[in-house]
Amino acid sequence: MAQSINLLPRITEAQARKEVYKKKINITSIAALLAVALIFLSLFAYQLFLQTSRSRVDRQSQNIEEEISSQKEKEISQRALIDKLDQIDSLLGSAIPNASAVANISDIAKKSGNISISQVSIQSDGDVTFGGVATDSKKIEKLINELISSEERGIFGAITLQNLSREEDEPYNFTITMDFLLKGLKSNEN
Amino acid sequence: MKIDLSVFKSFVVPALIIITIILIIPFAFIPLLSNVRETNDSLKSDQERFENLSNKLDILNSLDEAEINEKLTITEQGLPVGKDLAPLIVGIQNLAAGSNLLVEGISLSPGSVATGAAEAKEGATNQSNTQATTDSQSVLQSDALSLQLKLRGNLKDLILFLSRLQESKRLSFANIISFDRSDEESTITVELSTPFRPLQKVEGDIAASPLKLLTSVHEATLDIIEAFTNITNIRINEVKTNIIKDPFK
Repeated sequence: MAQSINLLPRITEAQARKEVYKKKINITSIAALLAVALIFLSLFAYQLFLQTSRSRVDRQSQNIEEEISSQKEKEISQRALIDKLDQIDSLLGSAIPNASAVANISDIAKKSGNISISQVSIQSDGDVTFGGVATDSKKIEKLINELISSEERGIFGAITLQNLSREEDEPYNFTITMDFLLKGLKSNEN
Repeated sequence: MKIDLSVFKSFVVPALIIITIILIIPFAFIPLLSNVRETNDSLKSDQERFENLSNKLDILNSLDEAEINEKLTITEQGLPVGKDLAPLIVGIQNLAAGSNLLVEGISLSPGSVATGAAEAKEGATNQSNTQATTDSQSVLQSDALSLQLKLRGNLKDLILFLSRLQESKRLSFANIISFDRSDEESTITVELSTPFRPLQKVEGDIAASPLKLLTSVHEATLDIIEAFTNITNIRINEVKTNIIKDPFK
């Protein structure tokens, strides 16, 4: 009876596992290299796309810029108009209505029994110095009451009697300092 | 002793691949990535600029130049580009005379042109001052001429003058008012600040800088200015001289 003889060298199980392991390493490393190359190429393509888009947007912007510069005069006028109106708004909003300040002082002096006004000074920050002459102390009292009432109405504030003097058989001379509280020339109240 | 390298032979390819990947990352991948990021940022800013330009063009197309110029003329009656001293002085003199005040003198105050820059410097040195100072600074943000008026008249006429002045164009603000009466004589001193506003420079990207439209606040301010009385619309004739300007005529 014939007997078969295996001429191939016997591969051990350990050797076979080693071969599979080697193969796996090779495939994984090649796959990793391919993946990196793919990512790199994608990034490169994306960069190209971005640059193309950018140059397209730049071209469009340049066209619009040309159209804008053809309307330069209009733009200058519009800018000047807005700037001036903003400035006027700010100026009118922060200015002190001096006419109203002097009118209020005159009104208070009248209501206090015709006190004679000898001095009125109004500064840019609303500081008011008001000097006058009153024939008797009742008028001074009335004047103080009128000023307190004006303080309650928010017209004058920080009212201080700086000086009150009288020589024999002479009227009272007084000096009052106060703050004029109204601001702005835009509203009709002034 | 002989080292058997056949064991390492099979790892040469994977090792080379790993080395290549390790080298690619810092020398090619990261620079490319940062390039992509930069280009992306530039594209975004370019697109933003393009949108700004498009919006600006839409605004410009919607504006009527004749209407703007008409409004600008009204506005410049209140706040002119330059000093224009002559019509201002004549206008104020007429206003005072029309309010029954006797004009004794009008003088240009020393250091009379207050510029925005000068005011800002002054503001920086007086930081501890009260709100009143900040308010007056805002009044003087634009350039301004300072005039000193010496007048004679009574308090009633001064009130009339001041109320007319605050409703006049060109805009003038009485910064300091002094009224002194001794016996029958009344002396009035008024320090006027008369602002003017030269054209402002546009900084940065001029073409893409946004263009504002008139708001309701602007329209309201324009209405106020329009209603003011123009005191400087006086034509001052040039004095004719014998100077020959063109020798060939």
